[in-house]
Amino acid sequence: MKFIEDIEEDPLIAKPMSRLVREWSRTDQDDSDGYRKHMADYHRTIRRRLFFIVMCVVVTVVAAGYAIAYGPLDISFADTYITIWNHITGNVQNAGMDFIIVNVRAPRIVAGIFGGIGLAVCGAVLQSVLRNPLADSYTTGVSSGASFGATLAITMGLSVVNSTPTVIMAFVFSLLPIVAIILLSKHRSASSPTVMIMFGIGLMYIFNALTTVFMLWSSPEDLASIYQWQVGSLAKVTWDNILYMAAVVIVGTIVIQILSGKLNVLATGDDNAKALGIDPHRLRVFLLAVTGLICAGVVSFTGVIGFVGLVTPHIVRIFIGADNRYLLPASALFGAMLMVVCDLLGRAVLDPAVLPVGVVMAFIGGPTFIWLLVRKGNSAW
Amino acid sequence: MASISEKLSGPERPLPDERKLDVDEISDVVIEMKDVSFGYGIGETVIRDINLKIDRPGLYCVVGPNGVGKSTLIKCMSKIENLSSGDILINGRSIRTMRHKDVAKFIGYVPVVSKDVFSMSVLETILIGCQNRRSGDSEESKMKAVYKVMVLLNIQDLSEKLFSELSAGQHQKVAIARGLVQKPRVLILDEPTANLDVKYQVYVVELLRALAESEGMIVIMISHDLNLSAKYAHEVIMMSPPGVIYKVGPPEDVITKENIETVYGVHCKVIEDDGAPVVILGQSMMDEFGNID
Repeated sequence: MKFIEDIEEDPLIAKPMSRLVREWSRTDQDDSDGYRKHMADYHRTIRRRLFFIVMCVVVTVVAAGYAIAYGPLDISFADTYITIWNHITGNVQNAGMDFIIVNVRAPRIVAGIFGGIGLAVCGAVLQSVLRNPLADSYTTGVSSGASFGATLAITMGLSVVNSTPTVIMAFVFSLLPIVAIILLSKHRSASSPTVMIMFGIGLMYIFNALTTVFMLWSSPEDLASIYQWQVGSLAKVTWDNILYMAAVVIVGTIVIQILSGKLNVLATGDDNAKALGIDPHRLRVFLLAVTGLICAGVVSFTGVIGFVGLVTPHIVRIFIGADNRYLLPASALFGAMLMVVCDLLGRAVLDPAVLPVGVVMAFIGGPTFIWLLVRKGNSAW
Repeated sequence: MASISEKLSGPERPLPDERKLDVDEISDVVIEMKDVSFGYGIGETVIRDINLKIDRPGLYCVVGPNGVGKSTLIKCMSKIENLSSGDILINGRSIRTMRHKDVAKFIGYVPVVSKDVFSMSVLETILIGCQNRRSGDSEESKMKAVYKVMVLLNIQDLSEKLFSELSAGQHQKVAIARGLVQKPRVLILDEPTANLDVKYQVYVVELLRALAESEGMIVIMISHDLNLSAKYAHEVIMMSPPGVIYKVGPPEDVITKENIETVYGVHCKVIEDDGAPVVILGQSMMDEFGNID
């Protein structure tokens, strides 16, 4: 239906405007030079993003090889990959080397990869969901909850025989803040993302205070293991642990990637999301639950590893932009790369002393991040 | 056939219902608000007992003082807020039973422009508007739609720029583009001319009017500029405290001295220019203590 025959007759509308509107509604511009240039530009952008993602994978694979090769017993870079390939194809030739590489050294690296993926994805999702650049597993209380759970398990002597009770307690307590945030958000007055994150910060302080109390009461031995847990480490993760961790991280990441287009909409605001046909509250709660699970699944095995979740998405945004469809996989792989590289440096730089991966990450990533912010910050945020 | 300007401004102006240019067809989307009330808390109402039927294409301007519930009214129409009582029928179907997705098929909503926390490129920002298209739609067809709407708004050269780098006028263009790429039959805009200079203000209302006339769309916008509304709107919806509709009709019936003085509490003179009322503001109606409420 046309409102009138010829809108050019309307004296209130400038001629070029009526021409543009008519062209918009009647013609197809798919064969114009402009459209071809537009598509070419778009494809170039996509290729640049894919290149970034591929580079992350390449660096991760190479760094993982070096990280496995590095250790008291000298194993060459090539031998590392050959041994792994032989192990996968069931054609083990050097049982000793196979044992060292596959059972001693690889778990640490694989845990780093999945940990990096999980924490970086959580950071990226939480920042978009809560529309806050400071959102991560710390500011939502997840890390503090996990810390408290682990502290509780250690001080109560539950983990004397093995670490399973610590893992379970850390997992349960790390989910509490997310559950609390979701329950709180049912109240209309507290359902805004800003209130959610402030609530998370409130919980973080409560859990930190509780942890401190238990630490004050604990023995020096317990204190040492609590402290070690709080700075996070990849050293103690076993293949059995990795199985659980990888399952949670892989499934969670896939689910989130499927929702990444909707996450873009959510990141532009609740009103806009509703207007575009999305129930923002339901989506936010679901994504919070999934990220909570991923984060808990990683942190309860590795201990609290900071920095990667908060900063990785920001660094990646500087390079490839804020579109979550690309930001999420790129952050995941960049996070994995960062973990593997930093863990390797943590072992190599002050050898034989070992620096925890979180500390190395902060030392290297912190200044890099600040430099990037100064250079590109204003335009990227 | 008489020209539009004659029809709009001639002395023998037809009755409001037939006035709408050549058309007395009913638009393909009909919005009917029945006794609609809404409040954020219990016992509190922002808008009350709204009865309004919009069944003809055209540019509708919602005017009224601050806090009177203009934004709430249009948010209720887009199901962004759930009604406290009453009902809104979209083509006869209750909005209460419709999902956000169903409403989005008819209604595009353009919120007040605000900077997103993480800025995407102009292209990606507009692409977000394609969210509700059929899932079978290829990336190619979405990109085509985005390009077409960028050409319409003449922003195709900005496609790689970040949203945060644009000027206020360009922000508004992108926001409208995001609303239009949904291909809605009803476009609802919250203050699309706020923060714009006169060049862009006129541009935006001309565009919206042209869309209404050429596409047969219902375009509903909130505006604080009475003169802009008086000149460009086909109909003006004037709201007054406490959240009720004071008057609906063609500009010359609604933008009058009496109505403005009653609703806004400002002395004014209304003259006519080319058939449209023009408001010349006078003093505010302050009480002896300096209160204006």
